[in-house]
Amino acid sequence: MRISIFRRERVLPCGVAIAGLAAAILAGPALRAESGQAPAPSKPAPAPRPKAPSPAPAAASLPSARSIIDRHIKALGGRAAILSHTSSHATGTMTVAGSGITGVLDIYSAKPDKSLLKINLGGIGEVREGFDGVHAWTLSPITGPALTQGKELEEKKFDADFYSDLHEEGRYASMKTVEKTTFDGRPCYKVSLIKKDGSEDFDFYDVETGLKAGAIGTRESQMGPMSVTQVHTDYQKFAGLLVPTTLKQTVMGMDQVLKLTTIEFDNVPPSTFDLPAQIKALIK
Amino acid sequence: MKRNGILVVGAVLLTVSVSPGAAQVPQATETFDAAWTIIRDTHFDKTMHGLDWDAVRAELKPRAASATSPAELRAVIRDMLGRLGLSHFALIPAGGETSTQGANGASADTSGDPGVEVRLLGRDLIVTHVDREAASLVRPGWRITQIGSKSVDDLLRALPEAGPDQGNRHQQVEAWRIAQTHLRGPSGSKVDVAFENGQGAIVRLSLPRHFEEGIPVTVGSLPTMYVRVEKDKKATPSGAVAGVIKFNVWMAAVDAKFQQAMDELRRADGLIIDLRGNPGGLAAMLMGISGHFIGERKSLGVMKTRESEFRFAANPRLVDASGQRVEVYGGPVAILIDSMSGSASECFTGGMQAIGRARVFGQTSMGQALPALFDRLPNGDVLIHAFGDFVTADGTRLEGRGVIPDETVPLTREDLLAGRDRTMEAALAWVDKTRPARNLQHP
Repeated sequence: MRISIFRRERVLPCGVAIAGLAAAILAGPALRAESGQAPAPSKPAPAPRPKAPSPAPAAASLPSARSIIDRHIKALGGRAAILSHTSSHATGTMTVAGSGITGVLDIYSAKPDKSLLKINLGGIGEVREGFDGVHAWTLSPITGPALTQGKELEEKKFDADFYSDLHEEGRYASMKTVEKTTFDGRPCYKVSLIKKDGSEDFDFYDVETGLKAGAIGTRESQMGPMSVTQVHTDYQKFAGLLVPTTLKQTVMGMDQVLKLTTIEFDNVPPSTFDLPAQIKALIK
Repeated sequence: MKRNGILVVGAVLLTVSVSPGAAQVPQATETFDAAWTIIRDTHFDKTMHGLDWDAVRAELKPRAASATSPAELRAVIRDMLGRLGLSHFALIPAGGETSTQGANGASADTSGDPGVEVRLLGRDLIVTHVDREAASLVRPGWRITQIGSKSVDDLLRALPEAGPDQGNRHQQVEAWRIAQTHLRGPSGSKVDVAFENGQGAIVRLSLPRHFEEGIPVTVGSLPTMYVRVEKDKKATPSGAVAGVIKFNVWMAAVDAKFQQAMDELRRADGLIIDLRGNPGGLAAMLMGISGHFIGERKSLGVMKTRESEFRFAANPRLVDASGQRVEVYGGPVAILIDSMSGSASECFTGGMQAIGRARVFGQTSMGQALPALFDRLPNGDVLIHAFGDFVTADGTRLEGRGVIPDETVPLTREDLLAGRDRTMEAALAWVDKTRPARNLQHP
């Protein structure tokens, strides 16, 4: 199982695309459910399929991408507050909508670009994915240990930037406000982010609050490129910073919901990002 | 014959069964609509292979709305699923394990298993494997004539006819399901079974049912499955050693045990992976398991969804269980399959066959190889729905076709009665033939 970190966004553990989970639950056993009559408990309806951003008439003049992002940074708590932190550890839960799959997660990040994601999923076990600044890797009971290579590795490095939320000069080849649109039912500015390799991500920023409402992008995976749509909600303040504590991602037609319950800053030991023995053995 | 959309059978999932009727059908319309909509939005073929999906809804929704029992509602939804004519569209009833008596006299509590595995040969249910108490009482090759109060002839009367394109594979699966439905029951109970012992004598036994052995694994809303991984060493005709690894379902719990088995069998002259009776599981696992035999990220096949294609590439397993660097297994690999090898087993086997990394022995597999997801419906039932089509690296589509062995070895009652496993024998003989050349390449 592959876990892709998509747009880690500084200390915020947002943008975790568990692409591989989708792969993991594909092709369940051929199965047969005996016809019959069962009590019908009231259960939640299946989660709606991903909402495509609905276009709206373009405004006569749109704010610049830089100004939109700066407004977002300010809404979060400000550039100085963001830069005051050097690491973070978030804990929470993950569910795959409608499937009954749940798990607990730990997300560690540190400057400049280290990351470790642990997800323990019921019936599957612990999946780990990390980046120590050089090597990106995955340890999964589904696919075994693997080093990330090629474009996927480059994307991991890009996404692991601890301060990526600042969208610092040079991170992108270009940034441009595309339109004012509706995303997840909210009026948002859609910002195109062209990376230096020419690939493009889109961020959506809430017109009213200035906070990031979500993103759409494509990331390489062991199974090929995967499109990921993220929705960020339930911003809460931790150590002076607003953090979206609910992140819904749509990957391979599956909705994954991550809910963060705790976030701690500046207390992550550097050894957290050390490579596991199985991964070290893969490095020649 | 209409496939009814639920002909795919998961051995380990059979515990989902039936329960008594309810007086009303809460959320019938919502449940029907949810199932219809999910399939509309996720089916890998937007055209539904030409099926007018709106017309299906228009026809069936009124029936769903007027259903007077959960069973009736499920019948309507299954009718809808059946119109698709594909595997991996199924419905798992909610709360199926909580009641005591199901349809057709079968128990809804199917937690107990008497340890008798069967296959359909002709129109006969023949024992192919026994374990637990049954191992000392029953022999492979015996023909089951009666389960409980029902004769096998009666039980199998409703079997679908063999299709022109798919032979009797649907019959095989359905017969297996019928047998398991009646053999299984509450753990601790007994099931009366009559056998014809191959010599014309009828043997009547009361076999105790026990909880299924293995590591219990529950993934989301799917029923609990019990993972078993067995390893063995067998001598080839010339005295070489072949390692044998058998597992019953593709669940994550398999991986560590498979790794341990590989570490033990790494020096074997050949490897035989026995997937007979393995109905599938987590498809992504085939990337990890195949990586024990493939040293590069070679694709075994592609899953085609409505919008994208995703490759199932081997993840070379270059580390052993203790974290030491190793090479992938380079010797000959044989895979054994039969009519009850399905889904992920087929994707793996077909993929390994397509890239020439394994030789396949046995009988043609289920032909039910569509990647699927599962969603809980408003009434609590779980909808299994295919959202991808799997095509092997050489372009072979497995759905409706199955994996055709390189060496087809018919399953016969005579062999079973004689205690012979000709499929295994063929694989061992092939290891002998292949070993010298392979060993030159992979000393």
